[in-house]
Amino acid sequence: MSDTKDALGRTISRRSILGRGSLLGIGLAGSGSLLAACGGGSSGGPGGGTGGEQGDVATGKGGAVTWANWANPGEAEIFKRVSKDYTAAHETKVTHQVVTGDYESKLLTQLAGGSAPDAFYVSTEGMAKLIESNNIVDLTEFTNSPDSPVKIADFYPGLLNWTKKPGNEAVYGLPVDCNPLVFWFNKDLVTEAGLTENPQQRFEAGTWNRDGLEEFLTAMKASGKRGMVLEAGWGTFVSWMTTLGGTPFDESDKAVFDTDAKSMETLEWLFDKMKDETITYGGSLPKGQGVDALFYAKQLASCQMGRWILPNLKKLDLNYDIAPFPSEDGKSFAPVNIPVAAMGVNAKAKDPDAAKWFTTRYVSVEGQKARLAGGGNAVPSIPGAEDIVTEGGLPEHASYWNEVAKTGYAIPPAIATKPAVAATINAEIDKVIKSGVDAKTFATTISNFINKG
Amino acid sequence: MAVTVEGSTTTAKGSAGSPAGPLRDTPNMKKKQRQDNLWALAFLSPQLVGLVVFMLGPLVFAVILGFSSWDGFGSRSFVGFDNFIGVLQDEQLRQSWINTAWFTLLQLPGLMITGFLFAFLLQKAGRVKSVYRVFFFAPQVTSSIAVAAIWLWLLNPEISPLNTFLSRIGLPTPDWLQDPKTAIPAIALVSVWQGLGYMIVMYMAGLESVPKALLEAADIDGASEFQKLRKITLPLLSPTILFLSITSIIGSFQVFDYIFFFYDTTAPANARTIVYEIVNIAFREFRFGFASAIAIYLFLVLLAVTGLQLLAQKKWVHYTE
Repeated sequence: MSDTKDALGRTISRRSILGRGSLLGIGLAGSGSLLAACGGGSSGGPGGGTGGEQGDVATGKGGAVTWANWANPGEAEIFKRVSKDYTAAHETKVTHQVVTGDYESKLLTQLAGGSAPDAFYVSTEGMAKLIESNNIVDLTEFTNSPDSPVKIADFYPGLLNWTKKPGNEAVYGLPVDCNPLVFWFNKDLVTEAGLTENPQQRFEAGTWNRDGLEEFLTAMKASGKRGMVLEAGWGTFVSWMTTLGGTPFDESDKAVFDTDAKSMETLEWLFDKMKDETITYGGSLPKGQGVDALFYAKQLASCQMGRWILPNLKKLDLNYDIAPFPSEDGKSFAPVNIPVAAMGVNAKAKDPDAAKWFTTRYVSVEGQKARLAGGGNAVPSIPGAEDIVTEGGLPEHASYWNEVAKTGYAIPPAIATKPAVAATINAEIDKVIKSGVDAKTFATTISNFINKG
Repeated sequence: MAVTVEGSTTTAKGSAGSPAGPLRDTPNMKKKQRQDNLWALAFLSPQLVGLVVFMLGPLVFAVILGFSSWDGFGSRSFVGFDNFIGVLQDEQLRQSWINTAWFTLLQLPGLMITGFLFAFLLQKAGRVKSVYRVFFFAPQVTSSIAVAAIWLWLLNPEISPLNTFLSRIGLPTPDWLQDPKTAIPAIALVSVWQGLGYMIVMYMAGLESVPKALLEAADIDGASEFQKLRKITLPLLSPTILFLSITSIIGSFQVFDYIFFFYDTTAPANARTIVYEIVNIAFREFRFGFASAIAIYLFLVLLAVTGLQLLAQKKWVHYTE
């Protein structure tokens, strides 16, 4: 029996792949009932029965739902529209609460005080604690029912691990969308550096591997521009390890990159490149405030980010495109980290079924299309809405995102299940790098930090 | 001296030389006083309820949490002094205390001295003084997010005009927010820039209350500008200086917003301050007991620093009648 590797590079069996395929098949078969549920015409829905002033459990009509997420003013407008449309379509009174400022602390305070919304976004760092403290409900049974607008198996497989209890298949949050990391590059700077092929062309030619990347970075350095800035985030480092064939976490979700040969090889390479200044170390400025600003300013030839920078790029006079991260064979969509958020249902929701209906419709193909179409800045977390990413034709090879979403992974459980690690790992990475240690010491220190929690 | 208050005859308390000696409050007066007290309490009660619910209650709860292990949900368990001992043993927290103290040492003189200098000069600016005052106060009323966005650009080592200028005059161009040596000074610089307007307004109010007669008398006596500043202005301004120094120290020990805006939740070790740690430990690591223990330490430190300032003020603060 031939084995292959999962998103994080771990070996998985053929049986497991077939299992996932079957689940996907069931999910696709259920998509007809999904549309019916959205139209409100189905019967015998999840749970059965109706609930007086509460929504109709069977059809997902009526009731009331409050929900919240983080949003900038532009996004808040979209969420208001989504709420309004949902009310019109399903006779459910939907109220969206915009949370400005520090979302996590405000949500936590609301939950502790019993005043949290019925459904809300949960970040990768906050999910484990909300599951452990029983603040959000298990959505498995609801999504398993025939009329559920979405099935667990519908989602790209790498996006769900962090929404489960350790050692349990129950799912407590559904990925609202995702944002796979890709290799953005400035086409003009590539040309000015004298390169005949840009990273996307190399990928198509099957030569977008580590050597190809090195050639790109060396040419950029020679041209007086920065080729790449490495940020102090676990997502970036782990992405480089997995894309170049490493297995940074073992099957028991323990960090093993300090002993994994390929991961170490990648880390040694990154540290060498930082030392000879082919790669610049960028510290720990949050996204949107550091590396991307350099990319916008044409001072940096590439940046490793998701689709979230696209709205800014559209406003600039910049000739850009994307490629997947370089891979071992130079032509594959190798697994990399996918920043993702999920929607969970409050365990104390006033109308739990209305909230579950809302949540499942919100993350369904139709729900994601409604939110992300017309200039969205994310990628669907579910097959069936791929064309959203390619609408407008920017960047030229935007379809790569859908492929990366299929192979990538969200936060590894080794980090997600330890709030103290998740909250401080980036600062720890930054501290260790700035201390001037070598790659091996870095790997040992950070893997110990993760494992000891 | 007998006075009549609403029909009852009594004396002003403590009046000396009354032939009849101090008169006692009559029962009617006592009743009236009780009534007055009750009315006062009734009027104050909304504020007192607010004080108890929103100030005293959380304070007591924080002290209880300091001795507990609590993740924000479910039950708490008593852990004695474990949290307080843990705070003292935490290496990163030690660094964050040092960062906070370093920020205070940079920000306090930056604000106090610069604020005074500008206020002193603006006093002499004549009619345009109000215009300058508005300009200086503008950053104070600007959203901290907008301020952070502007300074993120100004402090970006690659695209900053500040660094371009430094480069042109041959000075090193630091990575302000990432270099451990410059992170806290950069944050202090932004804080001084934004806080300067408030300082100037307060100092100008203080300077305007310095009696002109004293300054004119000093002029007649032939005092120089520096002598007038040292012997008249500064002593008479000392209550303002004391007030501003106390509030500035408290504010600088509580600095959080700039760091959160600059770094979100990923501030490097050399840019993290103590309140930033409290927020992160409580709301991201879900260790409310530990975070409360840090908050109690912070409270005690501020209490001690403020107490010392109030003790020292007897030697240098001059109150006019």
